[in-house]
Amino acid sequence: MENEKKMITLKSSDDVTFEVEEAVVLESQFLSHLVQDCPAPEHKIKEVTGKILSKVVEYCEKHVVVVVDGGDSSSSSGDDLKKWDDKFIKEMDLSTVYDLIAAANYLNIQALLDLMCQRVADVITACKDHKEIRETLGIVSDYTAEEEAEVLKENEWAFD
Amino acid sequence: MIHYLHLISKFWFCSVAKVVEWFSQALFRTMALTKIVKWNGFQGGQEEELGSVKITRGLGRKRVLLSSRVHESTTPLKRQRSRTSNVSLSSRLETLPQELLIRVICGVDHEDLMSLSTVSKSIREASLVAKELHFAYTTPKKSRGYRNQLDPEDFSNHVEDVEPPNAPVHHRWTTAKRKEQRSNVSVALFT
Repeated sequence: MENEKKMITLKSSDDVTFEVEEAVVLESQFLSHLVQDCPAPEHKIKEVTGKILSKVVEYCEKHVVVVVDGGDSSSSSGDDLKKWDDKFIKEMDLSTVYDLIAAANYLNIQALLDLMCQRVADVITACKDHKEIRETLGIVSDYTAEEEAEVLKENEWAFD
Repeated sequence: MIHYLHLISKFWFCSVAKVVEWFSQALFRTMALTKIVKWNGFQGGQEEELGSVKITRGLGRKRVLLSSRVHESTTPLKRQRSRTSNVSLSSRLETLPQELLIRVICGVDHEDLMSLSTVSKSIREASLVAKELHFAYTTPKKSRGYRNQLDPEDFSNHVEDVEPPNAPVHHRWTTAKRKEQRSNVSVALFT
């Protein structure tokens, strides 16, 4: 490294601060623009809570380290990263996942957004029918009985 | 003279490419993003209205052309607004903006789309958009035609072994056999 690593402080909506390297911030397109445009040492992110931001920072730090280190042995580090991702998404509950989807969308971190969306999609895929999906995701149906019957009837031919 | 012609044609190509790009962008936005979705997902608690974030996708000048679409989308908007006030803590998925819901739904398989559309209205809307945007252009995964309800794991291990009933028997043609077949034909024709 030619120049010293620049540290940037991120502050969440509930005033939790995170000190991260600039490379970590550059994972997020939104933050990299923010850092470029206003050179203040501290950036407040009003839309993200501390709990979620800590996850985001954890994810970005992991991915930056792997990208920087894995110059020559890219395949093994890629596998490690995948394993880490799997572990990362398995240990959080769905409501955290939703928050992370929203945060990743806001901060514009494409890889994290894709990972989280796929996690919810996997949950849906594991369900057999619409009743199970409702139960697993805790969705209350807003259909009346007639409407639901109509939709079911429509589905018979609509999704061939 | 030729030089000038070259320049003019180059300019023409550039503008055509730009128009096409702009048009495709505009199309995509009308399908997925014009809806103004209000939601309060970022701030942990659902009850507090203070933390709500209003996301509006400004279309700027493009709105003039797309006005018919925008009018259409005002009806579901009203419904969504009234619902967010009494939404329960558990159904967090529906509090996500529709564009994210679509993104999530793009990750499922084709056969899940049908059951998803029966779950609730907002998810049905999202899954219909996802169908148009994503599933119409992807190949379905190889599915088994029917699902074994008893033990799916056990069954999936033997998928390769199962032969379809009444399948035509596959002959292996050798050159000798083919010659024989051909000679039969010639005999039948010329006698």
